[in-house]
Amino acid sequence: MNRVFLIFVLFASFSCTKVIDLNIPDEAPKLVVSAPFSTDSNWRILVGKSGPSIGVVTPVSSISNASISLKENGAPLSGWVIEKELSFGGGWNPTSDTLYFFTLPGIKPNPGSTYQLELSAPNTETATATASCVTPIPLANIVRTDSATFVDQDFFTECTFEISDPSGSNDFYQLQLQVQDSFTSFPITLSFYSNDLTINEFTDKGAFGPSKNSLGFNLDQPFFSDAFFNGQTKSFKLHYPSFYHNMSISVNLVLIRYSKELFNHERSLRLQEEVGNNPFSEPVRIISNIQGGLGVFGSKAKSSHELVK
Amino acid sequence: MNKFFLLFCFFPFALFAQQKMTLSGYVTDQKSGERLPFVSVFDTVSKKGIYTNNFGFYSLTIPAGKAVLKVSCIGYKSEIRSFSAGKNEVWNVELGVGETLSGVDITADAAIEQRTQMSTIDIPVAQIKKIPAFMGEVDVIKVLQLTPGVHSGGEGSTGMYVRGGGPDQNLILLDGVPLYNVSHLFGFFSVFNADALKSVQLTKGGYPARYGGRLSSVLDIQMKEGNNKEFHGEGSIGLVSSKLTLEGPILRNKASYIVSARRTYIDVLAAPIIAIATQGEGTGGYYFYDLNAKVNWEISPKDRIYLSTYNGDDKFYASSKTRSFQYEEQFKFGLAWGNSMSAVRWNHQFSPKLFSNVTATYSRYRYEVSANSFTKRFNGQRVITEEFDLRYFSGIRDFAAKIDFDYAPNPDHSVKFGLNSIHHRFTPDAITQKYSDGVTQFDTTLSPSAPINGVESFVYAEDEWKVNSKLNVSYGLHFSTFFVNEKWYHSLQPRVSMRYLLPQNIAWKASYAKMQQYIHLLSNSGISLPTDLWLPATDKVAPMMSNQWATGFAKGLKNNEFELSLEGYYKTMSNLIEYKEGESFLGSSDWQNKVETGGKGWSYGSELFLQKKTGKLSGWVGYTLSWTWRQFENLNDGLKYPYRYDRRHDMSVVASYELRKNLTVSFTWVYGTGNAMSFPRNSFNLPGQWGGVNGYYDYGQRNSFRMPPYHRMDLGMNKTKKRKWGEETINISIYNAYSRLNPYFIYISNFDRWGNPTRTVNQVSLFPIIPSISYGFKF
Repeated sequence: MNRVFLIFVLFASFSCTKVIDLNIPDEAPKLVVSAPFSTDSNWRILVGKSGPSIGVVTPVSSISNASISLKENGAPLSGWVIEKELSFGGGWNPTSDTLYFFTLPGIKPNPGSTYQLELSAPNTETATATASCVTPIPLANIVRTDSATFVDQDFFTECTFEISDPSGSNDFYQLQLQVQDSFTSFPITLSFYSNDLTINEFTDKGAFGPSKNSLGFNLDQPFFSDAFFNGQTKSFKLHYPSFYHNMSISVNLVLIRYSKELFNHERSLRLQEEVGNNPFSEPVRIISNIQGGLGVFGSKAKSSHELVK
Repeated sequence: MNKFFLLFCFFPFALFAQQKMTLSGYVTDQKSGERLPFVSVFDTVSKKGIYTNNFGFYSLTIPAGKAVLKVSCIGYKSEIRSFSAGKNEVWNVELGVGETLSGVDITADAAIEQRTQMSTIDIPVAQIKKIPAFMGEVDVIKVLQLTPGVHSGGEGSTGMYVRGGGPDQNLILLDGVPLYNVSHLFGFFSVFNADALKSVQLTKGGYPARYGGRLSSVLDIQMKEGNNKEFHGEGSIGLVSSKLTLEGPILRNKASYIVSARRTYIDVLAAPIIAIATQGEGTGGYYFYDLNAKVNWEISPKDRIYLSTYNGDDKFYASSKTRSFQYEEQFKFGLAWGNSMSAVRWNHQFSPKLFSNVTATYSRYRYEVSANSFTKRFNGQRVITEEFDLRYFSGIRDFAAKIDFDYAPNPDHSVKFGLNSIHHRFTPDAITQKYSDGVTQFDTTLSPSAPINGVESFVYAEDEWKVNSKLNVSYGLHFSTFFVNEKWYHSLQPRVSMRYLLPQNIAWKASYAKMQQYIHLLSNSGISLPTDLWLPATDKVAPMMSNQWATGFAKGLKNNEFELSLEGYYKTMSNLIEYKEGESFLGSSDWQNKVETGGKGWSYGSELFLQKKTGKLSGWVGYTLSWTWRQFENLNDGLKYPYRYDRRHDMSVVASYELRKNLTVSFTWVYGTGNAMSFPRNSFNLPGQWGGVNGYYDYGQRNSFRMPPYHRMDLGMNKTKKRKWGEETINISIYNAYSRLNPYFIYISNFDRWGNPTRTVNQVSLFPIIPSISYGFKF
């Protein structure tokens, strides 16, 4: 504590703080839409309302009285039901919260289809968005070599694989090492490592995450773009601790292809979380493709391969 | 072929130089022997004139016959001499100091409407010293921030933002040597000790071809040479700092020296407070110092050598120590930064018409953050010691050589040409870590960005051409190259300024200048943090470029007691860099991956400047109306947005009045539109990556909010008293006299002052009203 005090004592002695009124124009609440969709899951959309940035009023995480319209290639989809889910809130809402999801039971997005979303709610502007459903990119030529590397008292398993990036489009990916055990209902992602300079380039240029990857730098769900292998087949190499094999769990290598709008949105969310209140960092704007609102309507498509059963 | 082309362009007039005579020499201060730059030398017969160069040299070639030279400079009595022999003559002029600034005539030839150069501000150092000082410390940069087209980044900052450019876009020269970070105490003071300075000139546009390498301004500061007639001293004792300057002859009228030192004692004052607050377990403090020294020696009437050096450092440090029966812990933290520069210059006069200056320089800026922790504990069986040492450093080092020529072929042309080469070595960032616990140890150096070497060179030629009695044109070419990472950049930069005399002696001036800059400053905030990184253009990050057009009117009023100018400018900038969203100087990534490149910028506006340099009342009123924009492909959806320091209105009033011979009062008032900033318009919740719901901010368009406006009034008083041994001065200054709490930065707090969960906007201000007193002496 003394250290902190010492560093700030000189600055603090000169400075003074006061609460001020900043001229922030009053804005009506906007609809906040979280509508990522994937070919392997049913439609599930969360609609909330924004709140002011200052004061006591907090944003509403979800509302149940929104009117929703979704069209697939111009044809309406119907059968919406509301699912309740208890969520432990963060941010402006530190208490638990009930979230209302608009769902279409049994209806999944189709790869290549285009969807139009329209949402309205009392006292808010109508929010609209259009997005296409991306197709999954298969993982190919997967080779696992156990105990290939020994570092810092651990053996590491090496895994190589290839992906063929479609030409003519800018594509975005996320790589995960997922485990599914018998105790949790959803998969958990594990850390892995890479010496692959190609991944290093990807993470530097394409998105966020560790900008220098080497054995010793932890990769956790890195996002990257195809900026350096657009339209080509590219090999990847990664390492993970061999003890994952001994945990009686299945380990899956997962590649998620993202639409541009979803990728940019997800990236901006994580960056804003990462920056927090760091006064030395540039503020991060949340990228949105919702006209008249905030949030995202975008697709992703998953491919996976079971490395360990 | 190109050489012949240049010769053809610049020297055809030499062929016609017939039946002329050349009057040349040096202009010096009568009391100190200091050579005086920017002095007007005017022949009242032929109506031709010229200004002395940085070394006080003039050369005026005029039709052979009768001539009457008038030599005049603000603050000095004019000297006049007739020449009738019709041949070349040397006249070394000694100017006597006027009675303060009053009673000194400003002759028409030195008036603003006669000068071809526009967008230039020169303020006599004597006048700078009269302006109210912050904590008793006169500051050149802070005074320049009070002039139109120039403003500070924020409270206390010594960063200069000139015509929409950033603080890295200013070429700051001390005796011709570039300095990189001119801030002390996180920007509250600049590194320039006014007691050691001879002249200050700022050029904001229409740059002469001899300058290059920065986009937005050239600040040319010359150090005093030292009195070559008798020994003198000058100094002051203030609340936070003291300084002392000594100067005198080494060989009377031949060689002299000047040494000037300044140091703060905030560390000494803070030490007991920190000791009480930490119950004796901690120490900490901050200080800075400057040391200027210069020697000059006149080897022969045609040769003179100058050696000058500057060294200044800032050091912030803190340490703590905790000790118990079985445990001992020590922690040290340090932050240090500073500039060093040295220059050797050799003036040689080849002929009355040709003067040269050869310069070799060394310049270095570096900053360093260090932390060290040491623990010693007894685990019941043995004593275990652990030590961790971390050092982060960054910097830039230059070696440079240049040669400049002044050539006056005939009455209508004054030519300058030369070449310059600088070897830069950049260390963008490096980290060393050491760890030892008796069993394990490591000692590593991580260089996220390896040191980069670059060679910057340029050649230039310029001519000031007096076309006729109404039209003057200054034109030139500047060709620069930069070699880095096996990549070769080059740029040909035309420069033109002109002045046309309209009826009633109103001068219409216009200029165009293209500039290219091979060095970037990566900066996170408006605070002049030493952590800002100086970086080169590389194969991935292209050099910045600008084009600036300016036009305006100028006129001397009331026998040139007043100078009035109105200028408009339009500037475009390209290849700007900016941190990516969410990035900062912290982190281990290569800097090139943290920045957005290829940015564009625009700045335009108008400036009004009414200045009075002489008389009992002196000072100025300045007003700037301006717009500044930036645009990057990956920021703000690719849309242009206001630059953080876009300042719509900027106004300053500066005045000093001599109440009595020994009593001067002064006043400044400054107003500026608040800085642009990004601020959340809304908040909203979305599912987070780890489940649950997270809160986020919607910032809307980048920099779409404004901080509250900045304004401040300072008051000052100087009272001098003659003593047997010299003169003493009491200076009383009141900074921020009406205690305006100007914004330093703004942040959101999730709780109000009573701890309720209410998000509030909080403004941090640095300085309320700050009175100060200092005691000065001169002998």
